[in-house]
Amino acid sequence: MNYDTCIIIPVYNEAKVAGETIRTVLKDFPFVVGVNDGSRDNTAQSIAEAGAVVVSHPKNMGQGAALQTGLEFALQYPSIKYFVTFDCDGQHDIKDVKRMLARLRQGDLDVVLGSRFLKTGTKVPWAKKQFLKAAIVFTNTFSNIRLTDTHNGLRVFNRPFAEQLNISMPGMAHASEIIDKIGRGGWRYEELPVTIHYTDYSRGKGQSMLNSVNIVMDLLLNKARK
Amino acid sequence: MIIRILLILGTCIALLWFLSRRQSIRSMAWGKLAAIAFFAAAIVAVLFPQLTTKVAHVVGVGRGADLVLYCLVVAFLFFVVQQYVQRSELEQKFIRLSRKIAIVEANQNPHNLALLQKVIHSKKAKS
Repeated sequence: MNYDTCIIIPVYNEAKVAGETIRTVLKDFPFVVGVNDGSRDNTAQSIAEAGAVVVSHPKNMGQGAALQTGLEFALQYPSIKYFVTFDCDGQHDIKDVKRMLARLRQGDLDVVLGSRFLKTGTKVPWAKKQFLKAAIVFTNTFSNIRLTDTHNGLRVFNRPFAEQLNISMPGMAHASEIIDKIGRGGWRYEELPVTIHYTDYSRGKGQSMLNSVNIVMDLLLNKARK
Repeated sequence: MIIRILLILGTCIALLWFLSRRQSIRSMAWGKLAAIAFFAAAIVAVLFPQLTTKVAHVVGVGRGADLVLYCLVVAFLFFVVQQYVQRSELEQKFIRLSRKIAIVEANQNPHNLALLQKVIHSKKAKS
């Protein structure tokens, strides 16, 4: 029952929805690490009550930083061979994780990424789609790997990749950073179609259009830093 | 003409530094040298104000006061970049420190220890 896999879920001020997500995930994956990113509500308590391991940042530091914390915590246990990054707001589907993991277990890949644009049932809101398309063109231009969805929070990867990842972009730019590292390190990757459940909740708090300016700038700066 | 080259060069170096986002030993040494030169120039300029005008003429600027202003703009640029670089490095240190604290605390949390017993250390998990 997937004792060799750790699901990492960063949570910031989303006590209620995170608890539900964790309960769903725990049905198939016993080891879930909820990273409470300095929330002001009772997120830590809700993660614990749902049955996940709690790691709490003393202050809010951003999703990228939270993912790295979860990874470093999970890497302490040598029996964990596979790592999954999973959003807390219920937009990902655990069935997709199982498929991606099965693909990774075949052993010829290091990273399996989720894509909502490879034929799937996902209805992406129009404005969001345009924004994501632009982000894809941009990321593909500036990194030497080709993807159909560059800002998907669902990723499954093996231990060697996790050990060297070291996410340094604290905020949302970690998505581009991870892709950049895959390209630069020559890691073997593949995209699999996944379903994103756009609930009213996730729509309400998704990345704003203006945030794309941040993503683009961060990516350019990251490039210049080499 | 010379002043234009100097000003553009100064701006470009500040930009490159901003992009590198790194504080190297070399850039710190240059910063110290620049600071010493700046203080020395300030005292000389106060003692011999007409000297700034002479230097200004050499590099192609009309008045000494203008030259001082231009130099100040470039110096300010470097100051801003230096503050930015230092702030990003501090942020990285802060994040790494907080992460250490978070993991140490998580490793001692009784709830986590009980859970890990089941999902990592139990016979079922090991098989």
